[in-house]
Amino acid sequence: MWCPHRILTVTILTVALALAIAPQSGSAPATGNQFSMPIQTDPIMNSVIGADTASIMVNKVLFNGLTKPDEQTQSPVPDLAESWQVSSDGMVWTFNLRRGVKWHDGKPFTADDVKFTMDLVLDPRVNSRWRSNFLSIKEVRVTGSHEVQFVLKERFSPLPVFMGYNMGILPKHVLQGTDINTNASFNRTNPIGTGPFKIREVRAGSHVTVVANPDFYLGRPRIEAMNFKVIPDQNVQIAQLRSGELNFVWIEPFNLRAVENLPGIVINEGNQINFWYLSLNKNNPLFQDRRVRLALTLGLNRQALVAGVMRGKAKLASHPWNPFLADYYVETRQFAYEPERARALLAEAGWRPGAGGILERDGQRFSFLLTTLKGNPSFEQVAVAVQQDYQRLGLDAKLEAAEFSMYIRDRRDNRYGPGASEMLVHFWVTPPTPDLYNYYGCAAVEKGNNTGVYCNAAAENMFLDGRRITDLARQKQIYARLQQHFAEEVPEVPLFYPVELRAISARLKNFSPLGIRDALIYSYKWFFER
Amino acid sequence: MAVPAARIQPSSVETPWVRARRRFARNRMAVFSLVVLVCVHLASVLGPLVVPQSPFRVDPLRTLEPPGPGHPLGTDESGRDVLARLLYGGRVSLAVGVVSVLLSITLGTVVGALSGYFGGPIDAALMRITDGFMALPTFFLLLVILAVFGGSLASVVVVIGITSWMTLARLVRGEFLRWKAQDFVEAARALGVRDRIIMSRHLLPHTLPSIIVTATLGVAFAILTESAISYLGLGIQLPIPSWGNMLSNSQNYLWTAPLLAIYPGVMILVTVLAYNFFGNGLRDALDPQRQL
Repeated sequence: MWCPHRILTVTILTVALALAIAPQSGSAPATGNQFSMPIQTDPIMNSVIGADTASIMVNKVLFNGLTKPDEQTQSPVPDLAESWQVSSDGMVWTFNLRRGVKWHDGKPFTADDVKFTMDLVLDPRVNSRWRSNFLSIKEVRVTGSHEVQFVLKERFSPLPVFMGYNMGILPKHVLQGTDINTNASFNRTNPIGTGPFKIREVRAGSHVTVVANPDFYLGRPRIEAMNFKVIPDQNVQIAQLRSGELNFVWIEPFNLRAVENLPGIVINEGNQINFWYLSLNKNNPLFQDRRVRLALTLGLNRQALVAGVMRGKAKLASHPWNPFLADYYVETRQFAYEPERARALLAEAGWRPGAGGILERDGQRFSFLLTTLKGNPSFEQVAVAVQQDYQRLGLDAKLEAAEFSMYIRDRRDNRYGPGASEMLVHFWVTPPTPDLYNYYGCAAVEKGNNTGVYCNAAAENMFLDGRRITDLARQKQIYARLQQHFAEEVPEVPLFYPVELRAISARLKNFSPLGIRDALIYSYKWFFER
Repeated sequence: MAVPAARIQPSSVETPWVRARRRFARNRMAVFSLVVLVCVHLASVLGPLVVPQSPFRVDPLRTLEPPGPGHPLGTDESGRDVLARLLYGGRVSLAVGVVSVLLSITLGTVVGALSGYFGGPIDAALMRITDGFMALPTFFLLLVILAVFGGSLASVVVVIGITSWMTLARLVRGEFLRWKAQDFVEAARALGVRDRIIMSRHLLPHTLPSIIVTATLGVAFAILTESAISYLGLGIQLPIPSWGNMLSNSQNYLWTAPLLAIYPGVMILVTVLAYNFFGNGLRDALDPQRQL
C-alpha cells in the first residue's frame, strides 16, 4: 500500500522547494576562459542525423557547412566553400572549396568529403531529417580536389542557404564503410569535424566538453573550452546562471523577470527566424472566406499578446516573412485590434448571433477546435487569450492541449480534416531564406509543412518563380509581391516574430546577434573580458 | 440508604454516540481540525459565489502579478485571479476527495459485508480478489488507467475509488465475522429475518464507527492522490483548476512568482492534516475499548 504520509512529505518538500531554490551543486563554477551552456538532451554528434536542438547546437562548433548565414543579413556567406556559381540554366551549382582546411585528426578536407556527406543525406537508408531540403538534387559530382558540382532535377535558388543550414560536412576517411545511423563511437563519443572546437569529454546525461581547435582555418578560438551541460529544467538552468555555473541561458519570456537586473548578467536578443501564427485549416469551410480570416486577425488583441505573454520581446507580424531576413523583408499593411470591424466583417460574411451569443449561418454554429501544445507555458497562455477574444466575437473555440507526440503527428500527417485540429497555435523556425514554399506551397500540403492547407494559384506561381530565379534583384521583387499577397489574403492569423531571449554573462564579448544555433558558428570570435 | 437517583442517571443513560461526542470534544486538535475543515469546505462551496472574479477570465496584460487591489492573492500566468482559482480548485479537489471516498466505502463495505456474512466460497473468492487488488502497485495502476483513458473529473474519481476500497473491505469483513456470532444475530436468524435485513439492520450499524473513521482518513488520502496525479499532468486538466494541477503548473514560475506554488501547497497541506487529525480524533472517540 501507498503511505499517505509519504505523499504529504512530498507536498511539503515541493512547497519548501518553492520557498528556497538552492543552486544545484556538483560542478564547479565556469571560471576563466570556459563557456558553459545548457542543452536539453545528450547530443548526437553527427550533423547528418542529429536533428534535435541539442545535437544541432553541439554540431555547430564541431562541424562546418559549405556556407553559413551572415551575422547581420543572414544571407549565405562562405564557410568551407570560398565561392559558388550557378550555370546560366540554373541547373548546375559549382562550389569552390577552401584549401588547407584540416579535420580534427589532421587529415586534409577535400571535395570527396562533400560528396560523401551529400550522398549520405540523399540516401533513404540514412535517418537524415535534412533530406527534404535537398530533394532538387540529382547528383553531386567531384570535379577537382577542391571543387564540387551539384546537378539539379529542377531549379532551386535557395541551395546555398540550405548548404549552411545545419548541414555540417562529415569526414569520409573516418566514416566510410560504417553504418552512419548506429556508429556510436563517432556519433556519441568521438566525432571528428573541421569546426572551431574539438571533442574532449562526453559524459552521458551530464555534459559534453569541447576544447579550442588550434588548427581551425579562421585561427584558434579565443575561448579555451566549451561545456554543454545536460540540464532539461529551466528552474535549474536559472539557478546555475545565478551561481555562475552557466554563462548562457535561453529563457522563456515569463522568466525574464528572474534574470533581469542580476549583477554580471545581461539580457541579449537573438535574431531568430521565428514566426508565430494561428494555423487555420483551410479544408474547413469556416476558414475559406477571406473576410472571416481577416476578422479573426482584427478581432484578436495581438498587441496584448506581445505585451503580456511575450513581455514585449516580439514584433507584431502581418505575414510569415521575418524582418531579420533583411534582404527581403517589406512592410505591408498592419493590423490593429479592431473588434468592431471584425464583427462587421463576420456579419458581412453572413454570420449572425444565435443561441448563447454564438454566431450562426444557415443553422451552422461557428464552433471549432483550438489546439495548443501541452506543457509549453507560452503556447498555453496564447491559447487561453485567443479563446477568450474569440468568445467575445461570438465564436466558440474549444480549447484542447495536445501532447507533443500527438501534436507533431497531426501536423506531420496533415490531419486537419473534420474531428482533427482546426485552429492551431503554431510557430516555425525556418531556414534563413525567403523561400517558404515548404510551408505554404500546394505540393507541401501532401509532402511538407503546409499545416494550414493553403493552396492558392497566384501565390503558387510566385513561389515557383522565386525558386527558379537566382537573380537577387528579381527575387526581391517576387518575395515583396508575395508578402503583399499574404497580408491581403491572410491565409493564417499572423501573430508575431519573437526575438530569442538569452541571459548571458556580461563578461562574454563579441556574442553573435544570430539565434543561438547559428550564433555558435561564430563562437570562435567570442571572448571573456578580464 | 437510598442513593439519589439524579446522581446515577447521567452516566448510566449515556448512549455510545453521546459518549463519543463528549470524548471528541476533549480532543483539542481534533476539534480545531474540524473547525478548519468546515471553513475550507464552506470557502470552497460558497467562495466562487462570493469572489467577484471568474477563475477563467484571462488578462494577458496583468499576468503573474503580486497580491494587490483587485486580486487579493495576485494573478497567475494568464492573468487569472489566483484567489478565485484557489477556491474553485478547492471545490474540484474536495469533490474528488469526497466522491471518490463515497465510491470506495460503498465498494469496500459491500465486499466486506458479503464476505464476512456468508463466508465459505464467497468469502474465499472475494478475499482473493481483494488480495489481488492489494498486490497491485496502486499508484502506477492509477497512472496507467489515466494515461489510457485521459484525465477528467469523472475518471479521476472513479480511478481513485476503485483502487482504495480494499482496506475497508477487510475491516468490514472482520467486524461482520465478530458480530455475526453474537446471540442477537442468531435470534434474528431464528425468527426467519432475511439475510439482507440482518446485514443492513443488525450488523452494519455496529461497523459504522470503523467505516466513518476509514472514510475520513480516506478523504485525506484521495485529496493527496488527486494532487499527485494532477501534479504529474494526468489528473484534472487545465483550464479547470485543482490544487494539484495548480501546484504542478506553478513549477514553471518558481523564479518569478513563487507564491503561485505556495498557495495550493498550503491548502493541500492544511486540508490533509486536518482530515488526518479529525479522523484520528474520531477513532479515539468511537473506540468502545478505550476508556476516557
